[in-house]
Amino acid sequence: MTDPAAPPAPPRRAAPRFAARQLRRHPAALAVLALTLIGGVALDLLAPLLIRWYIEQEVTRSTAAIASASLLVAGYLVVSLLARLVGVAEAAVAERLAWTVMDQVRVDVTRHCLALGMDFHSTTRPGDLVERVEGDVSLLANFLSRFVLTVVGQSLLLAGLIAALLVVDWRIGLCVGVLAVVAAVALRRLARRGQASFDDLRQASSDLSGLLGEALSATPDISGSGGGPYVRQRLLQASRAVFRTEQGAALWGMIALWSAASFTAWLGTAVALSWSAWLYSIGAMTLGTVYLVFVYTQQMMQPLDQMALQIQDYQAAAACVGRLQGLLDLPAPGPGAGGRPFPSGPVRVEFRRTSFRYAPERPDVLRNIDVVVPAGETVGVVGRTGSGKSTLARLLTGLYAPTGGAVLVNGVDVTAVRPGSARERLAVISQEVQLFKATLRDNVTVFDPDRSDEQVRRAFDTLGMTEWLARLPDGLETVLGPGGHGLSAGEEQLVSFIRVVLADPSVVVLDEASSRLDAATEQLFKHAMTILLAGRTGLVVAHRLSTLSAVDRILYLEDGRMVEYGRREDLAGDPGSRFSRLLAQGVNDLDTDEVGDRRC
Amino acid sequence: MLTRRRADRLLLVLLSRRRLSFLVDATIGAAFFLVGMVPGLITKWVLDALASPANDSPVFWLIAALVLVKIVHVTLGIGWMVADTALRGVLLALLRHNLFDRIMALPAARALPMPVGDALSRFMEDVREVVDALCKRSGLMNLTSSLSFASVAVAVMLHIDARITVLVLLPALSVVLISYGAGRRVTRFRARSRQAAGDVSAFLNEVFSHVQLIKLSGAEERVIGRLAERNRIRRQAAVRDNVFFAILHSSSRYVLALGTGLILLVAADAMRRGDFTVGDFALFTYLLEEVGIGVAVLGDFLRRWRQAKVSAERLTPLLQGRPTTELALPQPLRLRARTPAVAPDAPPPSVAAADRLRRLDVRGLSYRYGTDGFALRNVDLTLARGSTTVITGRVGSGKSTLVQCLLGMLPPETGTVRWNDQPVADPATFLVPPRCAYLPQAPQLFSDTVRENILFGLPSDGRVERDAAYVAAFDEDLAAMPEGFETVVGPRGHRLSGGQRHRLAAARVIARGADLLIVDDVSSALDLQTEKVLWDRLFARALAAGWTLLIVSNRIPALTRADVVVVMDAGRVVGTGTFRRLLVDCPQLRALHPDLPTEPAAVPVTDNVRADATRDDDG
Repeated sequence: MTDPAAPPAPPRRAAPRFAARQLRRHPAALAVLALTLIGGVALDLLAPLLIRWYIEQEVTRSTAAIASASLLVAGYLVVSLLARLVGVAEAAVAERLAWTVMDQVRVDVTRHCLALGMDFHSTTRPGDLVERVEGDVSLLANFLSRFVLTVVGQSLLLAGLIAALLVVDWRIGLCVGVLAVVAAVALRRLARRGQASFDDLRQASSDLSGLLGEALSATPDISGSGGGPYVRQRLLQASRAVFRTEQGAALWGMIALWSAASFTAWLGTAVALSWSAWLYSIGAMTLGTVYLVFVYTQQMMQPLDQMALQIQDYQAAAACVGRLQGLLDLPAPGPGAGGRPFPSGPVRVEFRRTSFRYAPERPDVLRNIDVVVPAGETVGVVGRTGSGKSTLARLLTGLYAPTGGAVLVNGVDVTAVRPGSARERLAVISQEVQLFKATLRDNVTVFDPDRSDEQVRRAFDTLGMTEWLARLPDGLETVLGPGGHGLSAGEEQLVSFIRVVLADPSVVVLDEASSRLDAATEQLFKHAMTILLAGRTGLVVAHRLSTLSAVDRILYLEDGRMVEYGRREDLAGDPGSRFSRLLAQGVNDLDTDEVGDRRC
Repeated sequence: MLTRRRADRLLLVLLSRRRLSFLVDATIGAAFFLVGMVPGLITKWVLDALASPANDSPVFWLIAALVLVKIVHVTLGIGWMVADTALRGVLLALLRHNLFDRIMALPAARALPMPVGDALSRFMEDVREVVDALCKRSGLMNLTSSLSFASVAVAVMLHIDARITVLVLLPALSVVLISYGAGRRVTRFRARSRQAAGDVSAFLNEVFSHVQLIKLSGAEERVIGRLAERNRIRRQAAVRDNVFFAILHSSSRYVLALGTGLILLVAADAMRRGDFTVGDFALFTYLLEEVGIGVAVLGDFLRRWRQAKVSAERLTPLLQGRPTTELALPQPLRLRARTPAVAPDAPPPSVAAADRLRRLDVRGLSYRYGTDGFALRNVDLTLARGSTTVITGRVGSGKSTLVQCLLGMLPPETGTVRWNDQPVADPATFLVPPRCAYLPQAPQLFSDTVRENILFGLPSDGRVERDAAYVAAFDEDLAAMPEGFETVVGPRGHRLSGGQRHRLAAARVIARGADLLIVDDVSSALDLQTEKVLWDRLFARALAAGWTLLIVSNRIPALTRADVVVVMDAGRVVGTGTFRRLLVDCPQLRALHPDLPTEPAAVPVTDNVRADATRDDDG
């Protein structure tokens, strides 16, 4: 399956640049982190020095050094305590910084995704996007907060250790220093080679999550079609991919990075010890110093180990940054900030030689539609399923850009309309109701806190739903959605009508809106629809002829072409028109004389 | 408390079921740690050799041995990682698959007690937490290895100087006490942080599923605001959780430093006397460091175990009543196998002739939503082989609830379902293809090809999907698609129109070839002509194949074609009969179609229609 958001191989350095951009916004936290890291390094170097002095005192001088020894011990304990306190402070600051930055990235990515066009959303699973925003971003946590500082800090520690060794004996220092540099270079090389296995792991994990998300929301379908074994088999495949890639990534991290780092550190220890042993044997070094050399070379384990770990983290992060950057780099289409406001008042809608296809390799869904809807009139769009009715409605929303021609509102191209300004002006009801697990109020206002209770209640009243509202356990505060109050499909549709009543738009698009209502409930809705369409321009996509009783004009589509357009009475009165034939068919459909839908 | 103990048992049962793997894992781990101790010993000998007056000490041999030992150590490290990653991967897959199987076995309309996003977060993250508590990264395998190392280290230390060892180890014990004492807080912080994470995930899933609504409502920034708020709640919970851990960890590390300080104080005399060499001291501090790490690991592990219990508890609601230990049931997953494509399942079992549907009886079916009243009240329904029954009624009258209860997708309060006079004990497992297939009211598709969406794992030589697409009136749409059956429908079939999605899903259900076909409201998304084509073809096919149809619809083309119409109102059956007769007899049906004239001689509505409704079967 093609994933349009699949990342291209992330450019080298993309990850550090990404981190730098994010972290630049938090200079204070960064400064504190830097201080704690440097402090921690200094304290780590200081503690063994105290012990060395202690050994030299205790072993070389035999008496009268107790007080000073206790002092050294006390000093050691204080230094250790400080090191731990600094550690906690560092953890607190880093943790807070990491979460702040992650949440920032989450908000940025979500905002960007919402700005992306419907062509993107119609090819990307919600579960995949959740995995990006949640899974990928959480893997950035350590990278964002600690990576740079840890690498800097551990490099400092490494440099400090080498410097200290140089002071003790320049040959040991030089030898160990060269080893450390070789190890660092080798680690970087190895890391770059292993990147692919981390990319694979992230992809496999996102595939698994996407599939699970789809399966979990389709349980009635799976059970109703006996698809359990099939879905299970697919899940197994996804699990196998995760298993394989996880092994690959772990193997790489362990063999290449950890073993290299660990082995180098011990090689350093061996070399340093040999040299010290020789120096000691010729009397050029004290035993205390030999101990110090041993401890310092041992301490080199830590920065090398840490760096190996950080590199693995870095690789996971680089894979994530690549995926996130791939997403963020997708251009948000259409109107920029400089777009024009949606015209106010009654608007004239015009489709000017409009064509549309969903993808370049697909056939045209709409071809050369030329229609003018005068301000305040309503056009009903009829035609068979797949004739392009819903696509026409989608184009009017400006969420999809026509591939040929234009859609104009009062002469302004809808795709050039500033997105914010469209919201009061254009409303859509489609057959699928999108509900949030949130209160009824949040669902009908789409999270708008500025709507008063009074306004919301009036909207319910308009649709004659006051009684229904009163029956809900917590009224407007009733939580809908899974785990909350369950609504039937028809009730859900009514909620979406209230959304539109509240929005009070100048253009109304009804895309098979009443399809889920029974005839009695539809009466309710039709009443509100008449009110809604009065003085507004409307586009009503319908397959029920009864829905069209209130429209002014009829647009007949066939295979994406406009075959008839005119006033409803004219078309209905012309026995040669397709519309009048459709009307006749609607009556015939009932098979009997005494029953018939005669309103159209 | 009870659930907590049960959650605990999941971890223990996993351990016992996989004891061999865990044993191997722990053994390699222990070997890794023990070999890790040798370099420290060698260093002690080096320092001691240097300090000894004899000059022919084997210092350089010892150093060469040091390098060799390190090679062995690294090899063991790699081996441990391989064994542990494999075990961890198997456990992850095992838990996820068992969880999935359980959800699939639940009444399908109630399979998830929470939003999909939240469930997904439990599937991915909480399962990981549980497994990680057992494996090497920070779980049990790390603990056993560190502890076995620590006990050897303690033995060596005792051998060198028992008095100092005991003194030094006493503070280490307090670490365990600190960690244990902090337990309740750990649990609370973790539970809060995981819940907040589930909320964020669920909200994001809704946002990305409802993009069009958000765009058209201009609600982008308001949604972002809500996301930021949920993020903030989680951030606070998570930071508190993690900083608390840092404090615990640091205090155990400090106890280590106290130990070293104690050695310094206590060993001063001994060192001056020469009983305690510099080599001893180096080894002591080295071992103490390692023992201390073991103790710190124990502290971390106790915390980890509690967090895993929180996660295991979070899996419990997904199991809806079953013990979490069922998640440990063995499964043949063969994760190392590479299957290039979905292996077609065994051909669907054909129904034995005796088992084919002759008659389906539903008696006394009742269902309650929560506690606020009946959604379904004492409903009777009989379907004869080859008949077509249409259930009709107002929004909220209980049509879909009836179908879902009948199928076992909702748990009915009372009532029985009989298949050829045999009671059906568990409709959810019995009323499945090839006996029965069901098309839900709001069908979902998978982001896959048209072919995969129809076949859904059925074996086919190409005819099955073509035939099903024809009956579902999807053939013309297919002809217009350049890629035909290979067309990818996009997430939730988003690349198709609403009507196409419905008919594609209908094709999937028709392809099952089931004896009983239950269709919940397919026509509402179709235009008149297409709807007519669909009904004509479906009814013709049903007639030819002897299928029985049960359809939920308010549409006249369906109602006029039905053998029996069942009218529902407020959870009851208020009329059964032919459409034409009910139009006269049943006020509730007339209210649904106010524009349909009844016969001039229409009988005035009498109450006996209501009273006799459920027994009225003259259709």
